[in-house]
Amino acid sequence: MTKEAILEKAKESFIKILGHNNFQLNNETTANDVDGWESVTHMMIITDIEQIFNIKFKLMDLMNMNNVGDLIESIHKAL
Amino acid sequence: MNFLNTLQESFSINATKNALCINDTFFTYKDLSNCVLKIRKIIQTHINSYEKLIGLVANNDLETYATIFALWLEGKAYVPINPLAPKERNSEIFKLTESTCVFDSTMNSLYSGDFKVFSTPSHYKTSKDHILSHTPYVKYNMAYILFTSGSTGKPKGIPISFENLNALLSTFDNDSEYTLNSTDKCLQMYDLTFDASLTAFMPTFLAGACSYTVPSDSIKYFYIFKLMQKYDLTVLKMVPSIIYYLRPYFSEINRPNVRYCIFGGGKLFKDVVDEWATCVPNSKIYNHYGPTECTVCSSYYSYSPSHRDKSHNGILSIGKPLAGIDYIIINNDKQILKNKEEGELCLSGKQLTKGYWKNEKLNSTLFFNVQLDNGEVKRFYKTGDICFMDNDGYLMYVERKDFQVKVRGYRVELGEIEYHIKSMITKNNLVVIDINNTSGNNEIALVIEGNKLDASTTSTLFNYLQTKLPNYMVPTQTHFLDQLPYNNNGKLDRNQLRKLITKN
Repeated sequence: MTKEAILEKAKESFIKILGHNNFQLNNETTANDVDGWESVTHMMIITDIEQIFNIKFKLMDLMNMNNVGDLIESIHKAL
Repeated sequence: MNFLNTLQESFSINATKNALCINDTFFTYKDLSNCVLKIRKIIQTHINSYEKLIGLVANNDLETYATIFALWLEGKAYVPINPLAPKERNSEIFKLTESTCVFDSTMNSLYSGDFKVFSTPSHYKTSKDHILSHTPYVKYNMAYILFTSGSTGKPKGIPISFENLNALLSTFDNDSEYTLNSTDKCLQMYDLTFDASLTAFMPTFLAGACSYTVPSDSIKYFYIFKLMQKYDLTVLKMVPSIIYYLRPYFSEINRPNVRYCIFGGGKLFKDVVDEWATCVPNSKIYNHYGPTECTVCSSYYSYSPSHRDKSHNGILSIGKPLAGIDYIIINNDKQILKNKEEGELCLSGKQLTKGYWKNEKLNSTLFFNVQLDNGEVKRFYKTGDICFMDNDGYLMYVERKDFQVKVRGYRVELGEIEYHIKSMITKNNLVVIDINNTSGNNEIALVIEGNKLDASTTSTLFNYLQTKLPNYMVPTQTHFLDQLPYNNNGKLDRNQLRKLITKN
């Protein structure tokens, strides 16, 4: 799966969990750029993404995830 | 011990050692001392000696920590506010304490229009050595005032005096079970408006160790894991929710160099601690308990991984009262109860606040005098926590008094329901909560973190509950959430939880 396709699919999780689509997702996007993306919703998004892609992140990967680019990279690696 | 003297000694002996690590930048005790001195200069020059309560915007930087010490050394108290909280609420706190002066290390302070704001200098490394000196503190003077949400909607202030704080720190200092040294690397995850921050950073600075702070806008459990890995922390003081979040990843955590792991600020579940203990195999584990009104910590339990650990409904004991703390457990008629009888825990002693800030009504409700068996009359504070003392002298936590809900007229302890569910569902975090249903009646809802249970597990669970609990205590709703919501201080956010499950 291409990284673009991963991003599109991951975006659905964000919309589902955050309840709005009022944001742009690109590699540089961080939690500060998106309304409602904080500790609790972050974990919910991660869990949802794990289910959608049928993967399990390592704590190490989660720890080093600083922006959406890192997230996409981790999904790509896990697939 | 006079904690200010010990602090000054520590700053001087450990001048070249690291005191703080903030966003991967280290500051030595000398950096800290120099910053304290500069802020003291500002206080001496610009603030009247009779102004005792000084506002502090609790940022995560050297200046903010230095301001706390500078104010103390000048005999003043800090009134911390959370920079992320609404300006209106924060300004109200300053108005309630009649603080006209505010320290804020940010460039353009939000408070400069309404208050006299001092921003602290931006560079600290001076070459000269300085000796910090102070005039002995007046024990009844305040060291800080913290504000918590009041049920009336107005924040309520809890003033803590130098004597209160000194009593707590002296007890820790005398505790041979818990001794930090200057090589320790200690986690400081608490917001400075939360009193648990004091038992994180004060023992660290008194021992000349290094505090590793956690930014308030970070995802705390990841950031903490990162600090543990990167800097090999040796002392972890955390809210229990951190390990509840990290629980799915315990198999990836192994920190043999952690010497002490202290939990405080929420219920600590024994089953999660049993699992966590394998992640920190050489650590002593403590469960701290205490209301802000009795200066952070009034009792603690020392955990040892054995089946004999004290717990009630799966909640680890809150241990034995600290030296100098008196306690009683009372019923609704203020009669003192015997061992094993559940009632409201009341505390007294040198750590007890003189009362809520300008709130006589609340003070007359929550503080009262009791004549003890030896004839002595002591002032006690009603904690609102339902507890009992077992026959070995250990306090068992049952539930918040407010969480004793009534369902169909029966008094129900939600913790008891959780306990029985947890004996069947062992791997998921879960909570039982009362919610108002559409007919305006109380119903009990079970909220489980994780995937939906299959039908047979659900029916086994409910059949089991029917054998253990009266019908009115069996949850009538079940919800599944990917994540239970915790607030900034790591406590379960019940209001948010209610919103989430009604949305479901």
